[in-house]
Amino acid sequence: MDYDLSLPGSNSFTDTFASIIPNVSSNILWIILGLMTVVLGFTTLVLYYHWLRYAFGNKMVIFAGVLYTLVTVAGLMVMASAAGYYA
Amino acid sequence: MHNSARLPLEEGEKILLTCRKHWITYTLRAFVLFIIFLLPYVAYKLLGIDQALPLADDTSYQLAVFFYATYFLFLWAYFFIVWTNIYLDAWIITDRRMIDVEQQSLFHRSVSDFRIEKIENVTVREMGFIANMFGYGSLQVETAGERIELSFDYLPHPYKVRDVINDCHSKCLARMEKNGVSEAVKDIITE
Repeated sequence: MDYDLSLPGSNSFTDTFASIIPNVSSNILWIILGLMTVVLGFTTLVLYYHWLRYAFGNKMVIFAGVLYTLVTVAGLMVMASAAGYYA
Repeated sequence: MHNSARLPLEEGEKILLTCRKHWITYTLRAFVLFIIFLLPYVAYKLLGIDQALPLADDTSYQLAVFFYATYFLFLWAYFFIVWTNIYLDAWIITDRRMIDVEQQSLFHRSVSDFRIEKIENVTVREMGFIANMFGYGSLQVETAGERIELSFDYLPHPYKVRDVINDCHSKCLARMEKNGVSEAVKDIITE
């Protein structure tokens, strides 16, 4: 008796993914990138608002702000590069 | 007790100490988020998906990079939101007052304060092996009169903070005595 279990590692699971990959439109990636930029932009604004208003120039917060901004921008660049390559 | 959105310092008031939570609180959360970050990769390797979906060609590899970067950025932003909530939660001890800044979430913040001479009891609790090893604990301050109880958990060097508070309390009482505050008023304040 055959069982078709859709568990990770079984063929049907991976086959489904494998069939999805070639059909992913590059437009979807650009839309996701745009949405991420908006979401992260809003999050950054909220965080900077708190850091500037309530941290009173604390060095740790300034360091955290710089680190957060640099890594976020780098992450978005990686996403843009991957989307550009995929397109 | 006064409440205001920002730090309300009086004229000539000096900040003696700003207490923030111990670094272990951020590290624990960072560690959990790091594990969550690794989970898809571990699942990909351990569950045998890498054999069925080898990401051999550049296109599928770039697609994986794109989604992993998206996943990472969500976790990264979430960590900084959590970190901000923890870091902005602070006790500020001045030469006149104790100011308790409670940052419950990004849009939920309260600032309250009381005169340092009103302090009646300061209790330090260091519970557990890890707390003793890393030197953090909780500090509880009780005041006379309004019966305010403030508690700060994961406080680094709680005994030193207690000493600063006690020292400041003694100085405040001495200053009041020097300035000629009557015994009756002193009794009401210190009760």
